[in-house]
Amino acid sequence: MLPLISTNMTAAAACASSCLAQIMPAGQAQIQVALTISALLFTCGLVGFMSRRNMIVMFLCTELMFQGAALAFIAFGRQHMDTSGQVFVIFILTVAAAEAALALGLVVLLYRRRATLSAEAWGELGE
Amino acid sequence: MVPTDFYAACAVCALGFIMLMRASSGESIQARSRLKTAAVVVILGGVGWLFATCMRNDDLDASAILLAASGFVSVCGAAQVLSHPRPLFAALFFILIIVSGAAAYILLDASFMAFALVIVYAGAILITYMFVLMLAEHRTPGSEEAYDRFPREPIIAVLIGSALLAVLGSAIFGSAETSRDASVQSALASRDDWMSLNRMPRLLQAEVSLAAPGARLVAGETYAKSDASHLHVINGQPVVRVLLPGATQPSEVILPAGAMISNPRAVGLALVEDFPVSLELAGVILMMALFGAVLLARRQVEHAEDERREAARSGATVDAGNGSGGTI
Repeated sequence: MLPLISTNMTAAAACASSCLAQIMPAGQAQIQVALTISALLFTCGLVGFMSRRNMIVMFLCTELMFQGAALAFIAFGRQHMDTSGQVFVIFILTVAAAEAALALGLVVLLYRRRATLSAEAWGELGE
Repeated sequence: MVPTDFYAACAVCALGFIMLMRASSGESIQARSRLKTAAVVVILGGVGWLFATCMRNDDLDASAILLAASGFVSVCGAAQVLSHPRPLFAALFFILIIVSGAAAYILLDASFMAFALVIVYAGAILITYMFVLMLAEHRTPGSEEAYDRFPREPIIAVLIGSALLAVLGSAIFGSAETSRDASVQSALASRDDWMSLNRMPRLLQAEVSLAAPGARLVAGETYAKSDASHLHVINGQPVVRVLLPGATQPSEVILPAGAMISNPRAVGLALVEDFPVSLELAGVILMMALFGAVLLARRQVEHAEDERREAARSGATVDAGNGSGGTI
């Protein structure tokens, strides 16, 4: 067994206390509030997607649902003290960016054809 | 165990949202704004009640209260997004949601994602939305399109939404696990954070050089036979085995607390080390979106092309080889 040379015992004690201070366990109230916000955002997005008629605002509401899901990922990552949740949010951002590029291109194309942003102008697609 | 007043708060929120959607189809501007103010007050009351049911525990701290404040801002923004008669303002209120969401991320110790969210969402995606909106809309205030003012089936939509919120609420309160001791979990997470420094030897060497000038890393073969890692967590303290200058035997240095890896470093390490295939797939998705956008924008579509095509088809001479058949 090699001799253990601790450079400074007081520094070690300070480290031990501040290590505990640095990573506080997430309070239950904090996680529940965060999850409630995420549920509210997701619900608002869903309600908006169902009730708005403007195609661009409908896509905006899907982005709102993305926000709710991302906040839930961050909150669960905080609860389990794991960075995987944040990595998933990076992928959510990627998918949201790709979706925005494609959806907005599509909306501009549709607007040029019917000169309106109303989703009901394309109601015959569902028949 | 779900508190029953969570469901009551859901019902209050639903009532507020129905009022809000009714408000945009009001007769005069004064009546609209009065109804809207009342609806926002009802929604905020319901949301406050929801948060109050969450905060009934004993472990209430300042960050939960700040999180609830950012939640109020988010929900106000969301209410505006789904009820504002002018889409441009809906997009601006979405930026408000993004900013308050970034505040929530910081409170949840995800500082890198907070800044990435503001840069990517508010800086890129929402600006694209606003460009498209300004391209398509030429409205003055008070002359909004009917399809922006009158929602489609607001009551059914809000009922479905409140049912979803109630189900999500039961999941939130049902999954609140208190089985694992929080301090044990914290110690484990702290240990994992320190051990991840082993995967970044150059950073570890830099931190060791700061703590003990001239020291070189050596692998700690004494703790486990096949363990070549430099850093070990012993009694909650990060111990690195180093060779000090001039010494023949390795000695041990305790790293200061500031050497623990920061959030952006931890996210980057997880992204590159744990999810390399997903990272490549994200690149492929972005590439595909780029191709798709180029393909969509390539074809020139005339204004009201379909109407003219209909008119041409109803006429006596139909040019079959016209080629204006739309392919999107």
